[in-house]
Amino acid sequence: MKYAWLIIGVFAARFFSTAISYPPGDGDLYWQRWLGAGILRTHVVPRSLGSEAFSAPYAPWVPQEWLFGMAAYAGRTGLGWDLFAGACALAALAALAIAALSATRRGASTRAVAVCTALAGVALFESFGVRAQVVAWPMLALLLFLLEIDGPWCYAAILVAAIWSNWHASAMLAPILAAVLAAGSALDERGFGRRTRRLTIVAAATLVAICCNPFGWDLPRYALGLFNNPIKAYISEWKVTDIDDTSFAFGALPLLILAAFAGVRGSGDRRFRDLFVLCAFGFLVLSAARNVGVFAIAALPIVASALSRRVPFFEAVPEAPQTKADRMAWIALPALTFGIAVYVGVKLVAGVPAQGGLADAPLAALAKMPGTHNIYCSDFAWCSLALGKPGERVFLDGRADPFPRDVWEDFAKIVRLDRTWRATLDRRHVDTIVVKRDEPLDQALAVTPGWRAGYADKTFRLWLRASLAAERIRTGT
Amino acid sequence: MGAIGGDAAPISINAGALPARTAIDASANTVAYRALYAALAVGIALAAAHAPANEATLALDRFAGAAIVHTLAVTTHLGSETFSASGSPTGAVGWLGALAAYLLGLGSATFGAFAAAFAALCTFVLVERRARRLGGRAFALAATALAALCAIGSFGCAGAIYTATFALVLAELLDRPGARSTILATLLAAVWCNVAPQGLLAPALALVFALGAHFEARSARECRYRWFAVAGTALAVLATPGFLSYPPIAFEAMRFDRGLDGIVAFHPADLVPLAYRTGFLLIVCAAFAVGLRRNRAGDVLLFLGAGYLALANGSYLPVFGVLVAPLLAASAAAAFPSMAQMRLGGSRGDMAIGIGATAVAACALLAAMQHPAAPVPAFALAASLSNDGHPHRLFCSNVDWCDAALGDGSSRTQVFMDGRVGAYPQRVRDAQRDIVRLKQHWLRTIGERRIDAMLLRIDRPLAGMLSLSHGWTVVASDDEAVLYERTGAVR
Repeated sequence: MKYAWLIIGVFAARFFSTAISYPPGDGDLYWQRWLGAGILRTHVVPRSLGSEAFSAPYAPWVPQEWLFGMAAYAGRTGLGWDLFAGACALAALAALAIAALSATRRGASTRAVAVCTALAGVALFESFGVRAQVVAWPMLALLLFLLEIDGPWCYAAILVAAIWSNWHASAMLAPILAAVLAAGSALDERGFGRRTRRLTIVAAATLVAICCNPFGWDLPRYALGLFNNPIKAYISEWKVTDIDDTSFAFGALPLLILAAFAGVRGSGDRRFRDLFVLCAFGFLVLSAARNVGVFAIAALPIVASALSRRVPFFEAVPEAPQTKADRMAWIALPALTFGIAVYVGVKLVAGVPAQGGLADAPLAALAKMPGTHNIYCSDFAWCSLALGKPGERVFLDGRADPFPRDVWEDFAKIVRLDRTWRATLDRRHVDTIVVKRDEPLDQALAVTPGWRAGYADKTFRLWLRASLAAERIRTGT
Repeated sequence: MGAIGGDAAPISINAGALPARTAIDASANTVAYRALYAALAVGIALAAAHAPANEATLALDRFAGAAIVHTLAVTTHLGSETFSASGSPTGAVGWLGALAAYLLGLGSATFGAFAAAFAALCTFVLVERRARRLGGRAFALAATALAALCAIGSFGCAGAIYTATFALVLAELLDRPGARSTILATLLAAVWCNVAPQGLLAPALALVFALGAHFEARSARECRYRWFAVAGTALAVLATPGFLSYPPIAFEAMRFDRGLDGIVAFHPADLVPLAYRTGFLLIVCAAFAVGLRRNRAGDVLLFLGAGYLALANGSYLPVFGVLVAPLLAASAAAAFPSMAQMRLGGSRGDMAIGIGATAVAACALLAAMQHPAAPVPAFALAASLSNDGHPHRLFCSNVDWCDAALGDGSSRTQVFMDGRVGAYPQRVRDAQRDIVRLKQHWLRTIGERRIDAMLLRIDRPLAGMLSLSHGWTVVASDDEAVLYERTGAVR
C-alpha cells in the first residue's frame, strides 16, 4: 500500500487542481445550484419541472442530486467553492484509497496494488469533475469493501446505500451488487451458507435502503428506467466506450486486459463473487463511457489480487518486521504526497485560466433585452444558465432526464435540420436560439426568413425571431 | 489419442481402452456432442446464407473486376470514375478478390450466397478443430459458438467473415512450425494480400506467433521457422501488382486511421452492434472466468492484438472471435481438467456432420432464394443515378454508397469519393469531411468541384441545409437517404 499512497498523492494534485479551477463545460452545476437554492428557500424538494421549461411544464422529475445541489449552492463562491470542489476531489481520492486498501486486505502485493491504483486513477481522469457522480465513487468503493467483509460489518453496507441514494441515483447499483455477490457466494460456498445468507439479507435491506430519500421508490424506478431510455442517444456521456477515450484506453482497458489475462482462477472462496462483479462491471464499461470510472474502482482489488496470485513479478513477498523507519514512512509518505498535492494544485490553479465553453455571454445579453423569451440552445446544457432568470424559459436544459421523449426528438430534429425543423420551431413556440457560430443550425438560420441575429461574439450567436413573426408564433395566429 | 494443452502437463485420452460403463458414457456424450455440432453447423450455415450481402464491397468488386476483364490489366490508379483524385495510386488493393467476385457474380446471387455460407461453415469447422486441439472437445463447441456470435452481422456475400477465414488458416499454419508450414503460410499471405487489404495482417500475425515462441523459450528450431514465417509473410506483402504502394494504401483501406473519422465508422457498436453486445462481451466474461494460460506469452499477445483490432474497427470482430475463442477453450481445459477429459468418440463423424449441414444449408438456401432480399435503399438510389444515362458528378455523405454508382465501369457518373478510402489523398478526405460537417466554405467547395448530385443521409444537417440552398432539388428519397440534384442539371 505504501507505493499506492505515492500514486494517490500524484492523482491528488491533478484532482484538486482540476476541481478548484473548474467552472464546468457542461452547465450541470448551474441547474444544480438553482435546485439547491430552491430547496433551501422552500424547504421542499421539487417533484416536477416548473414553468421555466416551456416544452414540458410540470413534467415529473426525480431530482436525484438534491443533496449535491444544496452543497453546490452553499459552496458557490470564494472559500465555499474551494471547500466544495476540494471535497469532490477528496471523494475521488477516497474511492481510490478504499479500493487500494481493499486490494491490500485481499492479499495483493505492493507492486500489484500500485500498478492497479495507477491504472484506476487514469481511468477516473475523464469522468472527474465537480459532479454528483464523483461523490458516488467512494460510496461504491466502500460498499464493495464492506460486502467483502465476512462479519457483522457487512451490514454497514445498508447504511452506505441509504446515504448514497441521497447523493446520486447510481445507488441502484447497491442492491444489484449485493444480489450478484450473494449469487456468487452461493456458488462459492456450494450452498446457502452463512455468508450467502448475510449477503442475501444485505441485498434485500439495501433495496429498502435506497428508498430512504425524498423520492422513495421513485428513485430506483427512475434509475432502472435509465437503462432503456432513448434519451441516452443524445447525451455524449452515454456514448458507447471507444478505444479513443483516453481514460478507457490507458486506464480501464489495461485493467480489463489484466483481468482477462489473470482471470479469477485461484481466488479460492471468492471465485464466483469476483467473476460476477467483473462481468457486471465489464458489461457496464463496454456499454457507456460514463462507466469507465466505476469499472476501475470495482476492478482494482480483484485484478490486483489476481495478478499477485498468477504473475511471478507481482507475487507478494513476505515482509520483514516493521522497523521504526517503516512506521514513520506510513505516516510520512501520505503526508508528504498530500503536501506535494496541495502545492502542485495551488500552482496549477494559479496558472490555469478558467475554462470557457458555456454560452454565458449571449445569455447575459439576452437578459438585458425586454420581454419574455422561449429559448432553444443547440447544446442543451447551455440553457441551464437561463434557469431562474425572469422572463426566460427554456426548451431543454442540463436536467435532461425529466424531459419527455418527444421533446428530445424535437430537439434532435431542430439541431439536425430535419425536414420539419422550421415547423418544429414554430410548433414549439421557440423565439430565441443560442448556437455556436457557423454550426449547421447557425448557417440555416442565416438563410431562413423571420430570424435576426440579436447578439454575436467570436464563439456564439443569439438568434431572435423578427418581432412580427414572434408575435404570430406566440399568439398562434 | 488426443492431447489437451493447459497449465498442467498434456492429458492423454485413449477412447478405445475404456471400461464398459465409461464406454456407454462416451457413446452418449458423442451423440450429444454430434447433435450440438450439427445444430451449430446448420445454424451458422443458414445464418450466413440468409445474411444480406455487403453491398458496398460487392459493388466495388463488380467495378474493379469488370475493369480487369475488359482491359486485361490490373488497375493500379483511380480512373475517371472519380473527379476528385483521378490518377491516385490504388495499390491494386484487392484486385484478385474483385476479379473472383466478378466472375462468380456472373453466375447468380444464389451462388454468391452459397459461397458465403460455405466460407462461414468452413471457418467455424476450423475454429472447432483448433479449439479441440488446444482444449479438448468438451470446450470446443462452446468456443465455436462464441466465435460465431462475434461474426453476427459479418456473414453474407462479401462480408468480413472472409478476413476471419484467412486469419484462422494462417494461425493454424503458424501453429505448426516447419518448412512446409512456413512455405504455405507465405503463399497464403501472398494470396491474401492480392485478395484484400487485410492481407497486411499476415506478417503482423506471424510476428505475434514468433514473439510468443521467443518469450515462451520454445526450441531453437521452432523459433527459427516462426521467424522465417515472419520474413516470408512480410515479403508476400510486396507480391502484388501494387508492389511498394500496396502496404500504405492497404493500411488506410483497413480503416484504422482515425484521420478517417467522420468519413467511415469504426466502433463495433456502430458496425456490428449485436456481435459486440453478445459475442465480444461473452468472450471477455469467459476470459475473466478462466484467464489465459500461464506462461503462454503467445496467447497473451494474440489476445491483445485481436482485441485491439476489434476495438479499433468493429469489422474485425470476427477475427477476434476465431483467434481468441480457441485460446479460451485451452484455458478452460486447464481450469476444469475433469471436464476436459470427458470421453468422446472419434472425430470423423463430425466431418460427416459438417458436410451434411452444408447440404441442408444449401437446400434451405435454394428455398430462401425464392424470396430475394430487397436492395439496400441508399445503394438503390446511387445505382438509379448511374443508370439514368446522363453524366453526373456525385457526392455521397456515406462514401460506401458511392460504390453503387460506379456500376460496371460503363456508368457516366463520376464520384467525389467512394469506399476505396485508402486511395484518396488527404485533401480529398478533408474536403469530404468538411462538406459533411458543413464546415466553412462547404458550399463553395461544392461549386468549385462542380458537384451536381448529392446522396445524403436524410437525418443529418447537410440534407436540411441543402434544402435551404438555392439551385438544389430533391429527385428521390427513401427512409435512409435523399438524392439532390442541381436545378437544371440534365436528367
